[in-house]
Amino acid sequence: MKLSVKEIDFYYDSIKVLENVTFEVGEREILGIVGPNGSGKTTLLRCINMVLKPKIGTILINDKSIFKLDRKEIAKKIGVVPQNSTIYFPFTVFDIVLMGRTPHLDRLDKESPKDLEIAKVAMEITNTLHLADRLIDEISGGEKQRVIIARALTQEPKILLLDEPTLHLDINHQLEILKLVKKLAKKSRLVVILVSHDLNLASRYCDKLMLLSLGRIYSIGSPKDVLTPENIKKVYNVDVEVNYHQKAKFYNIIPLS
Amino acid sequence: MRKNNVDALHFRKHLKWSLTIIFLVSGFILTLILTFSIGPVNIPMSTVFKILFHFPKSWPDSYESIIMDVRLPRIILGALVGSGLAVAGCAMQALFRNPMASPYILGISSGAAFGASLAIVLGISLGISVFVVPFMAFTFAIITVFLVYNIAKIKGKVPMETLLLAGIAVGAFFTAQVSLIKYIAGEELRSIVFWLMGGLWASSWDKVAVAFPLILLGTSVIMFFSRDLNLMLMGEEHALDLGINVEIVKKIILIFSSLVVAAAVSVSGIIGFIGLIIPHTMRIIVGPDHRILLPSSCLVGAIFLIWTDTLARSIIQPIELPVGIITASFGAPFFLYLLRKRKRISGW
Repeated sequence: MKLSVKEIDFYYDSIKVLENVTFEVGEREILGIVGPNGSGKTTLLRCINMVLKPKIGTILINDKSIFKLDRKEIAKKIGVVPQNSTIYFPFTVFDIVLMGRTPHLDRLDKESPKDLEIAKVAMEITNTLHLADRLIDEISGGEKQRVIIARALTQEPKILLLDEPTLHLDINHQLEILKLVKKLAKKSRLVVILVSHDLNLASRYCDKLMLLSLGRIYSIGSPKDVLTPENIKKVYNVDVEVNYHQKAKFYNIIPLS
Repeated sequence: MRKNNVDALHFRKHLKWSLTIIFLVSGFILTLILTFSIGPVNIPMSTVFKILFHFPKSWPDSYESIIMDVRLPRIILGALVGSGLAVAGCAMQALFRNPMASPYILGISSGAAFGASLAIVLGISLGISVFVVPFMAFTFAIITVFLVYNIAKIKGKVPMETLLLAGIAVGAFFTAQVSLIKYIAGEELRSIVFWLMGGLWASSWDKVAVAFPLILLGTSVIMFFSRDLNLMLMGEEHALDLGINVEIVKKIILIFSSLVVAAAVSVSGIIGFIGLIIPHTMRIIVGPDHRILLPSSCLVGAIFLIWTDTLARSIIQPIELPVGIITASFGAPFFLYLLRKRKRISGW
């Protein structure tokens, strides 16, 4: 399973927001997209699942273009965990997770035992099974995020896109979510792409990072190679030091001024 | 919660849904049975039964005429209009994700009112047939929606906020024209005011023939999209991510809701309250899932309008009150009671 993005240009009206974006992600790999606000991170994510249509460029899954696929077909391949998930209505957690089966069902179909089983497995993996009968707007932010991830998993996707999955979460929930994402990538063999503004978390949990600046790829590679003081100075205009933390075994970015 | 508990949960939910529908359908049948015998002329239920099922005749001619020509079309129309407005109102609330949405949100009632007023004023002076008023109301209702939709459309997409504002503006425009017509109108003013107040007193089999196919088709199509409406509640982005072609679904729901509302308004004038409050009431009772919410609203809308119309035509005999007065007077306090009673604070 391989996702290839080739030479994507995207415009909002006449403003070029993404230019010549090209990269590849394989299964069991987590790609982190980082960059300042306005660099095009979320836009790129929305282009990958074809919610936004790039002006030029192609997106291929296993070397087959997804441009001609309808929304249902795309939803069977790509699961998305969007940034904002405020749901005001008293659906139960199980209702919400089961909605992930929509791309696999016809309108008049009732959910089959197989559909229920898939939803239950997804909730087990995300540790949300015990919340099944709770109402979606009565659970905590971290729990809600895990429920939405469970919903995405119920689509049985090969590719998982997460937009700022740790935004507004406490540190323990942030780590919990990212550990879950890592487990999903490795054990469930997913292609995972996550957008984050948190450089430290991204460098710790992602196999590969892509630093965007003004719609272009500034640097792509391992976290150690991408998040260098020079790159960060160029893109964020901030002086930092990058240290290797012996006990935690990863690189930490520390602002200097 | 263990895995088999979740299965039990799911099974119980669907069981509750089936029981709810059975209960409401029984209520509907009971409503039909009871309301047939109520009116200025009290016809006992046994006689009603005999008349409807063509038993050997044992009653005065006038009874037959009352049941077959007056009450039957009126009750059927009540069911159609009540269910149509409730379902369309529910669909609009989901589409706009706005608890204040009613079936008239796109200015459709103002357009219909304009068409009807025009027909009344021109018709009476030119002596045109009585079918012109419903026809003009329907036509202008459809024109209004078409206008509002195309004003709001940008590059093939229709943002809901723009649609809402366009509907308000176009509605206001037509309302002003109706006021103008009322101002200029002489003796026709009374007819216009009566039409605007809404009611089922002018029910006829011709009207049933027009309303029945449109409302049946429209409500069926809307209910077919129940799952889509559930997902639209989460937000358009979520719906797109889960495989819904949002712009197409929006278009279909808007078209068929408009047909239903245009049909309802053309045969019964502008009856308020039902399309706004019945869906909210049912949402408090059965929850937000449209797979149960839409059919429940449909049945309760029908039952509610039939009863309120029965009350409207028999509470102060032999005068007939406009049914809109009854729907709001009795419906609003009950809804407020439910509002206070419900345990949830968030959600609608």
